[in-house]
Amino acid sequence: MRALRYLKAELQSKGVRSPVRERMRGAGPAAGVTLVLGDTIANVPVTPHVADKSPYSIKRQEGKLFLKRGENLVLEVEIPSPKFYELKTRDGIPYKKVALLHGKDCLATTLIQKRIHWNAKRCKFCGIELSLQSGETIERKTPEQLLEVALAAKKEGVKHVTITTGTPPTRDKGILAAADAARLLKDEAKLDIHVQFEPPYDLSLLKDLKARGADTVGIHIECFDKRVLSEVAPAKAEMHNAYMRVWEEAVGIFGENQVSSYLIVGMGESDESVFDGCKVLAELGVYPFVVPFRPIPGTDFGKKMPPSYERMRALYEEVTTILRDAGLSWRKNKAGCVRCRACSALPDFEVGL
Amino acid sequence: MRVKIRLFAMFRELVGAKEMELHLEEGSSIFDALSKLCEMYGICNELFNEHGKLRDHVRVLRNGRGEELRSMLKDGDEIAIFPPAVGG
Repeated sequence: MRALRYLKAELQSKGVRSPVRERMRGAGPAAGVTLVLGDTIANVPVTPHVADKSPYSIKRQEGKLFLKRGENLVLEVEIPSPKFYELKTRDGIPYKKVALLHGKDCLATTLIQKRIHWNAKRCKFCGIELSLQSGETIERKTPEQLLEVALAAKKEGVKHVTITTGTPPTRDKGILAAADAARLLKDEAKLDIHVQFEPPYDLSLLKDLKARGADTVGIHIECFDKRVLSEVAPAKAEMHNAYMRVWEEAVGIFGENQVSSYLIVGMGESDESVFDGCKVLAELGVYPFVVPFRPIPGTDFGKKMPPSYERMRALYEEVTTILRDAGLSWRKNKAGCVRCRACSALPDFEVGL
Repeated sequence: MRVKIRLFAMFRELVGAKEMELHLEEGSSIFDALSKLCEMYGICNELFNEHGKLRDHVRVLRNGRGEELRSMLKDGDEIAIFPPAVGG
């Protein structure tokens, strides 16, 4: 059998027809299914316009799940199915509306399911408010609700937590609320914490965040091609310069390898912009979390296709050399998307680094 | 005065250093600093177009902020230069 990193990258570009699917909306790469593939894990698109053309499908046979390519069996897979999804908080909210399992050991929540840019300058790839509109989540999660879910999730093997702030119309960009949640989760649940946010106006907030328990942070520019970014994520394009300062400050506080930025491939950007962006990030000590674009139904880009497997494979192979030169690796990252690695095959391509 | 120059991606490769210190006359601007880099390292084509303007999308930050090239520098300022695909 060929190396799993190639299979993972191909699945993330081509999708899979699956009898099981997870959230179809929300922040980050939704509309997928998480597959445990041997010693790695992959979140794979299941949106019909992608998956219907894919040679891959998941079949259930005698109580087991198998990945098939056409009629050929590829390997047995697992789809994580957390039991804590069946529980409710003391105030009656289903745990599933508070936080979800990402990958196999990461609990993820969007603390404030609102984004100030949603109406006028929303990111065309993001479905952060769609899951709120559909009733799949609640607008605001309290630290206490999160702790309740985290303690239950920890019993099922969860080791780290990703907190996405959303972006409320406040100067702290939601970081203070994330810091409150981080402190409670760190003190009471003893989990590693990752927080994702937009560049704040006040950089001293980063020190507060670290002091209250955050181990890693994600500050996601998404794309280094300014023309594409202006079209796809106009609010982020406007604060383009701010990212540089915040990344530098964050690396100084959290350390190299503990700061990351998503770079989405497949929105119209050039390969050169991906490489240059990865170099800049790596030179700053920021892990460039290169992911294939994921179409989310209901978003402006809901009908687009992910980038080709061939393109992603070539990019991953090139970017690993940048990681190597900078001494970066997902293995050194303590929490969050980089450590989870379900949404990108880049960590899997690090083999031999 | 002394100004710290930080280079990223292709500029780092072209110059062969990730940072350096430039000695400039008092009253020098960001443009003067870039011109000196051109003289020292032959990177004019990468920084400027045929009309002498900064190339589209080359990003130059002074102390972490985007500013006009005619902005006057102060002793201890830091200039960061990023490659074309990164800026805009």
